[in-house]
Amino acid sequence: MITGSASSSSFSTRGPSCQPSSSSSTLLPMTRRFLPLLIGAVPFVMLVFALPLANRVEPIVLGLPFILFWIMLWIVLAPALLFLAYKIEKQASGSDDGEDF
Amino acid sequence: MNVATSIIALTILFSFLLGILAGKRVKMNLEMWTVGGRRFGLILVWLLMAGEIYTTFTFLGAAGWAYSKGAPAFYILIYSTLAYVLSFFLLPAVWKAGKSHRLHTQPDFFVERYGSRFLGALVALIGVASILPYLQLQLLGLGIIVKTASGGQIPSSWAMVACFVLTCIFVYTSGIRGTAWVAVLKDIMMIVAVAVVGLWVPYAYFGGIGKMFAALVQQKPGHLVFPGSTTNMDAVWVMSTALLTAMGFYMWPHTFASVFSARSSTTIKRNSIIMPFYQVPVLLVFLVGFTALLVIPGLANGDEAFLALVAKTFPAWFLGFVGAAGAVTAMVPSSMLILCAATLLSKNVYQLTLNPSASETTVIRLSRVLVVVLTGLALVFAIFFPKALVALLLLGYDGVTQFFPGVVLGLFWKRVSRSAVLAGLVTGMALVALLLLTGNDPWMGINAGFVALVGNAAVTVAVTLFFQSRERNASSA
Repeated sequence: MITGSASSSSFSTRGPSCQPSSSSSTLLPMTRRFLPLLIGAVPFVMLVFALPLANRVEPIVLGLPFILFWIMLWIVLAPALLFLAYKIEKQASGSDDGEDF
Repeated sequence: MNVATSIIALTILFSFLLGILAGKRVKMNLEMWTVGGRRFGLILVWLLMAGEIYTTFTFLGAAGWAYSKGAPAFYILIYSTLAYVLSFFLLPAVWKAGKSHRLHTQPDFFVERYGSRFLGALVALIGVASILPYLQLQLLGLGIIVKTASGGQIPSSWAMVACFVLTCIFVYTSGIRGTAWVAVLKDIMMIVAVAVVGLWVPYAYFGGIGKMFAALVQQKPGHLVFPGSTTNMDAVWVMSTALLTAMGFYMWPHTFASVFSARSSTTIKRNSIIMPFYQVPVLLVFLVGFTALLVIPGLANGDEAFLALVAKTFPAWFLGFVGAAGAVTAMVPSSMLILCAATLLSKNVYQLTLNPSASETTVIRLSRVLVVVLTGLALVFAIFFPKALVALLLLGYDGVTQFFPGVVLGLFWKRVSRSAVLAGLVTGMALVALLLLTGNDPWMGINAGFVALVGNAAVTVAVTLFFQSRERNASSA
């Protein structure tokens, strides 16, 4: 069966009423899971939701109209952000060989 | 034949041989033919993905919209970048599902996750229907290339027929591995062509990129901000379109299936990190489109702007090189699209749904027949219903993005059910059809496909929650 989490291998027909030890899990796996997602949300905020604010020709930056400069800026920053997310995931997963995120 | 068309013909022939040579060395079974035996490394996968992602659409369509519409074309830069960000978080789970269940195709995923062959067949049919305008786009691009390169001597319909006979043979002889090697050739040629043209033309005519933009701002002040030279593509349209297409990017049956051919989920994550850099050439394509608007205004078909400017600016042999790059750029994705659509119909619709006892040999034979049928269909559409290249791609996205709720919820939300996904998918497709056929795209400034996607997701979640609460009531009673 296909499911996001490796621990439970069946699609339950009854509600998953018991999820053992989810409250007792440490802060580290939480950080590992949510900090990269937060970082991944940044390009969406900048390139979609902030778009109406950046919709202007002036000021011209590096010869580009501001809107085009703004878009290119976040395109160049996106790999850096993803790399950061990758590092955080990898570090948090400790001795994992990185094959199983 | 003139210099330019000869160069194009020779390049197509060369890529054709390269595809055959790459395909000869390995013996094919269905798995080999479609996912390359799950053995591709980082560089090959990256090139394979790039080979699918950067198509005639990027080459001619982006310049065409920069020329005719202006700022709304910037959605192209935005959506692919966001798609890579999304893929970083989404694709490893898709890959893992593919590996542990030996999935070949996108409908396989739906069949496995939701236990419904009917849903799988429906996904396959919607996928193929969405691929057709994409194929049509590649064909129209080829037609424009050969027409411009021959100075109008060779009619585009002849060129389309000739190129697609070659593409069909190419698909038969080599499958995905052959396509991957030609993708290497294609990427190198395309990057050289775009870099030379994109960096040179603003200098040649205006003395720099900044000066070109200054001239454009002076002549057409509104062209560079939304809604550009359109009336109905304001910021909201760009935002909704960017979101729609970013979510749909990996929902194409062929890109979805290409994830399965990666070596590991780490390979995929690393891919996602470096892919946004591939957007820089697209900026250069826009520069060509904008320069063309100033230098050769008034073209009836904006999609011809890139090549028309090249023909005006460069010697014939270079026009041939750019045309050849464009031709290979159309052929590689086409062969992948055809291969994928044929596999979907033969395996997921015919073998799994209509005739479960069909042997693998029969399925392979059927998919080879379908290669010709589908290509012929796209050819007919291209000749009789030409449209702007970007508009065709957006049409395909209206369809494939409707898979997104089923895929994402299916991976990360255990409770989502077959009936919920089916209801959502049908709602999404019905909404898209309704809005497009009544001429409501964009609808209140929002991309119609996005409206349908929201309806689709809402129905999927609502149905899941409804049945869940009913079950809970039933069990507590």
